[in-house]
Amino acid sequence: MNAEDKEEYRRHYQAEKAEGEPFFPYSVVKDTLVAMLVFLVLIGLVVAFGVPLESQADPTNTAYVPRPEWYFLFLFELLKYFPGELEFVGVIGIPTIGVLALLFLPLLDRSPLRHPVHRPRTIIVTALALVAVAVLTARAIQSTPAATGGPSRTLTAAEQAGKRLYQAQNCAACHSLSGVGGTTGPDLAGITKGHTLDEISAYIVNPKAANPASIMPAYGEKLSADEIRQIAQFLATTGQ
Amino acid sequence: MQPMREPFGQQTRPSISERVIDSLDERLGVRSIWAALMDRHIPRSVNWWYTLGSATLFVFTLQVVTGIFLAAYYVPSPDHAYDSVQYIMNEVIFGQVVRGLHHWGASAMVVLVVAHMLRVIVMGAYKYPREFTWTAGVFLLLLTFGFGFTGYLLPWDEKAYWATTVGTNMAGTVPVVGGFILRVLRGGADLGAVTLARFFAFHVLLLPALIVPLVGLHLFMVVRIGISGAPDRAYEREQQARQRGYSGISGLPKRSGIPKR
Ligand code: HEM
Repeated sequence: MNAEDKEEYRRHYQAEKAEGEPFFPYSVVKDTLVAMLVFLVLIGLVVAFGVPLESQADPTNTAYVPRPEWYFLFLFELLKYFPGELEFVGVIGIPTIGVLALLFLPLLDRSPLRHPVHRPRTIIVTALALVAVAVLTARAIQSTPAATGGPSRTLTAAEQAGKRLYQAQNCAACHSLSGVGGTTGPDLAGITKGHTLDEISAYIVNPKAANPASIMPAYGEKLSADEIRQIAQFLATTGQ
Repeated sequence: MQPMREPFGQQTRPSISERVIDSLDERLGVRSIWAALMDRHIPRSVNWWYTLGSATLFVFTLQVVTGIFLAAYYVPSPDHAYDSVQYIMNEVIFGQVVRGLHHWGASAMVVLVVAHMLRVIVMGAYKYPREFTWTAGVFLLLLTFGFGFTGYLLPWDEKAYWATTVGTNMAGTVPVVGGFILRVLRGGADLGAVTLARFFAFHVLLLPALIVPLVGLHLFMVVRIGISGAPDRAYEREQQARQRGYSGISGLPKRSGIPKR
């Protein structure tokens, strides 16, 4: 906008204001009514849906399918299109472009025209961004089952027992499950995709038999064959 | 001024409230503040879409009030966080309602702030002279998301823990500084007691310390500059035609002088 446009805007705005009505009570009434409506809707949501509280956080429960709050789902979904090395493009690149576009919108759209039909570029880009966010959110909802308040399915008795053993033997001191836990040994989430339950059980009994360089203690003396089998069964529930 | 007389000859004195206002006005000019805030004129084209900003402000205030209530019971440590939230839900009177309002209020705030921003975009209200009102608004939007992200961990339930594990992992993918950001967010390699303390500090100390003055600045600019009117298509077409008259349609000689209105 050049100086002339600014001058014209101020003149036009002053004229509009001179014919206007005072903020109190006209706008105040509208604002109060809408605030009351919003409050009623919130109370309605609390009464109808309550407020969720799942079971307490369990760092070993990697079978849990994490799902962020709904307004972050589009970001979560965006990541899936940028695997591996490119992940930061989705995490940082695209959101940064979005934020910068918003910050500099007054510099990007400098015409003195304000009516939407006179600003097709801004309106179309905004609409496309909204559609993209809506589509990503919808796809994220489809692909992530709603949080159920625990693991995505309840563990069998044997898996449950294996999980307790995993915790009691402090496997997590050296091993992670999906990035949570120690880093001395490998991450065990999804380990059963590459090895049979028998292989894993045998490894826990005596790691050196399969891998002479292993520094992992042998559990064959400490735990029964059944117990070791249960740990393997628990591991099979992780990393899906 | 001649003092007024009551029917029975008794002199009226100004009521208590009038006298309080008078003395405040004498010292602080409260009447002119009221006039600047409440008697300011609003263009007639201002409509219901303009209530979205004040609705956001209302929900924000609700979040502050319910948040203070929750903070009075909440314990930010992995051993006690979950139990304290359960205590609020099951033992504290109206605890469920207050936590419910805070929970749904967070979503409502996101919905309203985005709707408010869209109304500003559609009406071109970010243009001169309101560019800085807009800039402050963009930061308010980011802060709103920041509240959502940090608040989500606090109940320390499964959803909180795992969503935050994934969320902070994302920050770790940034080239070069990712590892650093990850450690700042988590306060260590993994999610743990320090992470919870940190998210709590962000959620109830840092972010409020940023958003409160920024909301104040945003509203100051709104009042100071005046609320924009809804754009008027006919007026703008006329304005465009006049400008074309000035700059000259190709082939025609440029006109000069004062254009007809
Ligand atoms: C905590 C969040 C926010 C609060 C409490 C808030 C509050 C308000 C209020 C009460 C108004 C008065 C007019 C109206 O309601 O439309 C307003 C105007 C405005 N807001 Fe916000 N706002 C917030 C966030 C934002 C965001 C995210 C943006 C844009 C990125 C924004 C941009 C603007 C602009 C440009 C105006 C001037 C509009 C005009 O004069 O027509 N605000 N805001």
